[in-house]
Amino acid sequence: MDSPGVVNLRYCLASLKNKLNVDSADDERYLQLIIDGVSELNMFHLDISGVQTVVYDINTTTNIVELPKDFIDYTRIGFVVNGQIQNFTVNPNISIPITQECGLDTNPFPGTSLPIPTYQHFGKGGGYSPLNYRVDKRKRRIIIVGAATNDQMVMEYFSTGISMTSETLIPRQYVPAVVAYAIWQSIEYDPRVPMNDKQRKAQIYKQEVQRASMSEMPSLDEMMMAIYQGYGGSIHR
Amino acid sequence: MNKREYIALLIDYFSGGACPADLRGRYDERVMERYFEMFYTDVIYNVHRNAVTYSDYSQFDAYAKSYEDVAILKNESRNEYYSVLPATPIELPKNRGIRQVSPMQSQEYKFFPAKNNDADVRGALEGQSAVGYTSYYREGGKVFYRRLNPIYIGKGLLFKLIVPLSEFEDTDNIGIPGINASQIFMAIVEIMRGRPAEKKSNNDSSKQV
Repeated sequence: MDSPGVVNLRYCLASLKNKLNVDSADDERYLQLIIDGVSELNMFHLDISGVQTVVYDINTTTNIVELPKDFIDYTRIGFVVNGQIQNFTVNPNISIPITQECGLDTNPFPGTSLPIPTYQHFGKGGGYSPLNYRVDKRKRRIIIVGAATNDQMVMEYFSTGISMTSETLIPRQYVPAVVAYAIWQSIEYDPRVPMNDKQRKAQIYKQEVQRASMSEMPSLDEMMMAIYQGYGGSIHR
Repeated sequence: MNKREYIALLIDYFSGGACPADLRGRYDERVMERYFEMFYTDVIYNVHRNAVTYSDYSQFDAYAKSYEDVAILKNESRNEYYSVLPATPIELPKNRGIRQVSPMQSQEYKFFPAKNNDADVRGALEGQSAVGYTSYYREGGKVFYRRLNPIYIGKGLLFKLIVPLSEFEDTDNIGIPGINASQIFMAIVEIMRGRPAEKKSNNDSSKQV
């Protein structure tokens, strides 16, 4: 068997120390830079940790669900129909409740309770769902509006990728990018290090990120399948 | 060469015919040993500089002394676990005088060195919580532990320290880089020669001129 396909943060630290040929005096600092690197890459560049899925019971009284503590941003919000996620519609016009009564959010401007007029759009294309949502990031919650066809909603979201309850595992192909980030950051703010060295380390980091993102491309078969999906059989005329 | 042999070599020189006349026979074995310790510490510092310059920390290996089964104690008023350093290490940058603190049998889980005033930084960042390592910081003759894994409580730890010459037994071999071996010898001779001359008259005052 080959070496493992996923490694932990200690492995990244060992890889960094091996590359720099340093002793253990700065282990804490380097480890934190590695954690910063994993977070940075997971949030902005690579799919290191994958998305997390949460299933919520929608509170039909308030139509509000609380966001998880580790939530950074969502990739989809919807409900499951026949084993597939059907997305809700994002609606930036939903008013955010700003007052509370007996512990429940209430909106001081309730307005009229007109239904969202999706049914009036006969013949309109896709992209509509009977449920609308708006994410209130300031108060870290989602407001749902519309008829609840299912009492549960599913949200897929990404976080920092650093697990605080279990061991953080990193796919092996992303380790060079993580380590390159930590090496670059370890000198970036040191006024004694020449600028060309900083630029070089930044360049190596960018190259590693680019290389790692190549591994996230679909396989050749998947791409061919996507192309074939555009083909259709018909009678030759 | 062991520690006793180094000292004996110096004593032999100062008492022998090759020694300058103003030094011959004028030595105290204990003083000689202290001089030797002083220059030995200088050598260790030079080794440190060399190790950092060439990223070759294996140079310290020859100077490290290990201490087994060092007890973990608890400071109740601070609610912190600590150990008394089994010897006072040589002061080197980044506390490199303490080479390693680890469990007795799993050295791969050695503790991380920390600064004794950065608990706020490490507490705010997620490193220690996410990885779950134990760190130690030095406070005088003790090391205190942060997030000490409870499995180590009641067990002894392994310490590897770079210690001054006085911590070595007479029969312990002392590693001195080849180029420094004769330099130490000559440095001691030079410092002995530079001592103020001894007063010849005996009038119960200072012996110095």
